[in-house]
Amino acid sequence: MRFYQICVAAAICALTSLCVPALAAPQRVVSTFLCTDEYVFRLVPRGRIVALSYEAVDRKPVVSTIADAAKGMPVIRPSTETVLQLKPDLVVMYAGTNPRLHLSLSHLGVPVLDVPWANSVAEVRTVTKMLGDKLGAPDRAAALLAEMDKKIAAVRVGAPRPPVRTILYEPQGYATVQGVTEEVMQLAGLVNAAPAAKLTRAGQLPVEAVIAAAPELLVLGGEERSGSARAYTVLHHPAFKALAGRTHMEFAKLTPLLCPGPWSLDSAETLVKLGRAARALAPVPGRTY
Amino acid sequence: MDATTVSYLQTQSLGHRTRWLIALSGAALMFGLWSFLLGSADYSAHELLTGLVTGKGAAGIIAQEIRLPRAALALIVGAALAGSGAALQGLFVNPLAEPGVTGVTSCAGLGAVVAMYFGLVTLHPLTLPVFAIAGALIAAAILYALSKSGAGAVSLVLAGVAIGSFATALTALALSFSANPYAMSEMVLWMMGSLKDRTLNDLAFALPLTAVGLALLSSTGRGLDALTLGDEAARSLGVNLTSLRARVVLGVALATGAATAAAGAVSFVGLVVPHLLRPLFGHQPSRLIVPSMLGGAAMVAAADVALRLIAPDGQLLLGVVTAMLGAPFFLWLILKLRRQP
Repeated sequence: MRFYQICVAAAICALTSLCVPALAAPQRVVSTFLCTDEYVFRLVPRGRIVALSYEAVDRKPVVSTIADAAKGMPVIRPSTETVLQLKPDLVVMYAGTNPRLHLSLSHLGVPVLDVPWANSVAEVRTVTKMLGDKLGAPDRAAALLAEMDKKIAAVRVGAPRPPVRTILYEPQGYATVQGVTEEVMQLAGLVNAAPAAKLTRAGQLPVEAVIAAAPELLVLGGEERSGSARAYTVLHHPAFKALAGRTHMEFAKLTPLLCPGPWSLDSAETLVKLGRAARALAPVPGRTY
Repeated sequence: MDATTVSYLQTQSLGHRTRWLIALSGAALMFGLWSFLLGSADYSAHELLTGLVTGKGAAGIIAQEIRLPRAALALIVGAALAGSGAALQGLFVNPLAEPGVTGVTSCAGLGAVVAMYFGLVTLHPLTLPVFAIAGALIAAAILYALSKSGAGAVSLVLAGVAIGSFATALTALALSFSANPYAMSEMVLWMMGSLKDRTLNDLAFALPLTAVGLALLSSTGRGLDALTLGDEAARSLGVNLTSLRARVVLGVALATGAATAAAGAVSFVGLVVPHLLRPLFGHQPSRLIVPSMLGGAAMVAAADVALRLIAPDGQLLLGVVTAMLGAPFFLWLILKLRRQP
């Protein structure tokens, strides 16, 4: 009799340990920001995602890596009303974004999960693991990280050495590189050549400072024939002809670098190719940095 | 006063006027050159000036493609706005009239925004100045119609404020509907003006249109002189008022529209410069329009130099500097007008 009771108790314990994480996982998840959309879409099964932010599927321009995959999923422009009417049991927000919404949701007792900004690949690991646990998807998080490690290993093999002096030049002349983007560049065999002293407080670099820096590689962010705005005209400035023959200039979409996450390494392959093209244009054997 | 005295005074006056014209031209050239020599790339004046002539090397391309358009546009924009201000003040016989206060600049900005953010610029780059000129033309025409219906000085300024606010609201609306993530952040550029990273293309479009506009305005001086005596007196002096007004409205639209398409809305230049020059050149529009162009060129080039000296990292916009000078001046002018009987 005693043996029978022990067996039943053990079976109940085993079943509970299997079922509780699944039951404890949030069933109605809302994401309110592009960078949380990227995580939620990858970690949470579709049936448990109530809404992503509109940026996840925005096509003018495409700012998310899941724009195609998330097509047809419910999206919102996050406000207290739009979020509340979805009756979420967890709202995933990037720390510091939309503070008014955060405050009202907290007042109304809606559970909010704050995701910290990852400033390095190591922090990407921490954030991904944390989200995997909180969203009830530790296996998916582990798979994402394993895939990221595979890409890192592959990129290291192909990266040009010594590193290629590079400026990532975005619309409106933004050229600040830091955090995960800088680390991905380093992994891809590139080194940031934007002169810090010439950057504005907002992180913009005048065209003539780009020319004076004469990088080996100038990656122009956005599309070559992008929409019309003053922001894009700087990428087509005729003065860039001063770099002809010295600098490899190419338009490249680096959407995976907009939000730090395991997917950021998807840009590494593109950067390696660009770095190799730049090195082919102006080889610098024996040059050290 | 006999004929000899009149002749002597005229000669004296001419000499005085010529000296000031030379001084204003010198100031405009000096600030233009200073603007040309300032920039984030560390090149010496010799390298830049040599590069400007030869176009060779990085210094040459920077001199020709970046510094020259910026400095030249500063001069052109200043000349366009101040010349337009002097002409508008003559046309409306109103010391408060100028492209910014009367909403002409805001409407030009609206035209440029519509052309740029709805993709019309991709059809042809000229659509940008053409739409800006059309916007300026509409604002100037509305003001002209109001002045014809007997609106006084204050009413015209109030109408200008209404037109300007409406145009600004429409600009914000157009930018909100634009399928472009940068549209909203660029609103401040269109409202405050900037000459950063302009190209020779911007200069090539602005220069001829502004030149035609300013030539039209220069041709209106005598007629505007006669208009200060009233419509009837002007007609009796043989002035074709319809043609005169059309030339002023078109000239202002061309000059202000082309300037705004290149630099955004730069306010108060057209107000401050003619007022500062009146004690030196007299109150007759014919004596004031050309000096105002030179003074405006010097003022905007000086503002462009000042903003880069104050904030070398390029965060300060051109319109901020001109508004900081112009807005207190505008208030002072209103108070002065109120004190007059």
